[in-house]
Amino acid sequence: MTAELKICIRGLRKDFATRFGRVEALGSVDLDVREGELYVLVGPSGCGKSTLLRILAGLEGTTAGTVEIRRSGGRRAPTAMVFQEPSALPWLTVRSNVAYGLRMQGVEAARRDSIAARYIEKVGLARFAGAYPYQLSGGMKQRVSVARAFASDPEILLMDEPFGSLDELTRLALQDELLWLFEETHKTIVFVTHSIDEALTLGDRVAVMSPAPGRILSTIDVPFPRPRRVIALREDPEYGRHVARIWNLLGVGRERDAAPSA
Amino acid sequence: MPRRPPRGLPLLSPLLILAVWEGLARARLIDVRFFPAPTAILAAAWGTAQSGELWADLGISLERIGVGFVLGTLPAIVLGVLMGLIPLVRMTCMPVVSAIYPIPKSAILPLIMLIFGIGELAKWVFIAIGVFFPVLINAMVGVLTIDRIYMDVGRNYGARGLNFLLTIALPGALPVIFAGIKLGFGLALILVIIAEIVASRAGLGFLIWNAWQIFDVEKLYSGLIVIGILGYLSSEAIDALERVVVPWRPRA
Repeated sequence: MTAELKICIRGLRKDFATRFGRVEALGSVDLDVREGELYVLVGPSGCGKSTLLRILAGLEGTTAGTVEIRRSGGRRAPTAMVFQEPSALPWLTVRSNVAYGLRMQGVEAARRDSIAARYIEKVGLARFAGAYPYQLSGGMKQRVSVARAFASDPEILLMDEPFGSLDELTRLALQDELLWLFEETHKTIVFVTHSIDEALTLGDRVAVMSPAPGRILSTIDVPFPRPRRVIALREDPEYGRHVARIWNLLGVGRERDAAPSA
Repeated sequence: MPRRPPRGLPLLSPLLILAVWEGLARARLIDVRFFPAPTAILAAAWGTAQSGELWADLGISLERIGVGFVLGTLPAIVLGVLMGLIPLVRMTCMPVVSAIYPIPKSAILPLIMLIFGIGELAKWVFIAIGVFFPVLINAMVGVLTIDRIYMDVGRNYGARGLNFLLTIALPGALPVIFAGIKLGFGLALILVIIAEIVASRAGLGFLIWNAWQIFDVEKLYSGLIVIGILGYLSSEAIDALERVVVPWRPRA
C-alpha cells in the first residue's frame, strides 16, 4: 500500500471506573487507518467500538497506549463525528447546523454558507435548509448530521452507527448517499457498525472486534470495486462469502454448535 | 370528529358571572358596600382613567417592574448558565442560593429599605431579588438538563469557552430559562404591589391601599382589574417574546 497512514493506534486500553469496580472496555487495540480510506469497525454490542470512536473524537481519555491522528496542517479540525442518536442542534436551522463546524473554525459567514449549501444539496435537503430539526424525519435529521460532518472538512470523519436507528429503507438510502459522498471526496472515514452488511457495503477494510474487552481480531480487505451501489453489491457472489467469513470471525453460531458437547 | 367549539366560548363564563353579579347588586341581594355593581366599578375605573391618575400609577408600577426585572434577570441568566456549566461555580454558589432562596421575599423588604432607603432604588432591588432566584435556578437546571449529545456535538466541533456558552449552553437552556422568566414575572407583579403598599405614594399598590383607606371600594376594585389585565397582557407578551427567541420548539 502506498497511501499514507492517517491514524495510528498502538496498545490502546480503556478502563471505566463503575460502581461495580473497573470495567475493561478496550484491551490493547492496535490499528492503522490509511489516508482516504473508509475503515469499518464491526463487533458485537458492548465491544468498545463506540468508545474507540469517542477517544478518536477527543470525547474520552485513554488508560494506556497511544493514539495519533496525522494532521495535514492548517486550521482543519481533527475530527467530526456523526452520532447514532439524532444530534442536529434543535436550536439551529438545517443551514446553520450544517455550517456549525465551519463557524466554530472561524470560517467567515459567506464562505461557510456556500459550503453548507453545497452539502445540503448533496444530501437532498435543499428545500428544508430553513427548517428546524423538529420539523424533519429521523432520516432527514441524520442527513443533516452527515452533511455537517462533511462540510466541516475535518482530518477524519467518525461515524458511530449513524444509520443504526433508522428503518431499513431509509438506512439503504443513506448508505447509498454516503457512498456517493465518500467516492466523491475520499475523506478518511472511521465507521462503526454492528451490521455485517453495512460494513461490507461501505468499507475498504473491515476490522472485526472481539467482545469486551474489545480487541481487533482480524482486518479484512473488501474487494468490491468502487463506485459501489448498495443493491448491485448484494448480487455479487463474493458478497455472501464475505458475510460468512465475518460471521465466523465474530463467532456467531459457534456457541450453539458447541452446546451439545458441553 | 367533535366539532370545534365556537371562538368566543372562553368569554362566556366570565360574562355570565358579571351579569349575575350586576343583577344581584341592583336587586340589593348582595351588600354593595363590599361588592359594588360591575357597572359602578367600570364607571370608577373610567373616572380614574379620565383624570390621568390611573395612567400615572400604572406607569410608575410598570417602570418599577421593568427596571427590577431586567436588573434581576440578566445577572441570573449569566450566573445560572455558569453554575450549570462549571461544577466549581455551582458548588460554590449553591449553598448560598439554597440558604437565601426559601426566605419569603416580603420578609426582606424592611432590610432592603434599611439599606437602600425608601426611594425607587429600594423597589428595583426588591423586585430584582425576587426575580433573580427563579431565573437563576431555571437557568442552571436548563443547562444541566441539556441532552448530553448536544454537549458532545459542541465539544467535537471545537466549541470552547464563550463559543460553547453561546452556541450550546445558552440556547439549550433557553426554553427552561423562559419558564423561570414567567415565574419571575409573576413574582415581580406581587412584589411591586407589596412595595407600593408599604412604602410609596404612587403606583397601583398605592392606588389600592389608598382606596381602602378612604373606603373608595369601586376604585379598589378598578385597581384590582387593572392589575389583572396587566398580569394577563404581560404573560401574553412573554409568550410572544418566547416564540421569537425560541422558534425551534414544536408548538401545539
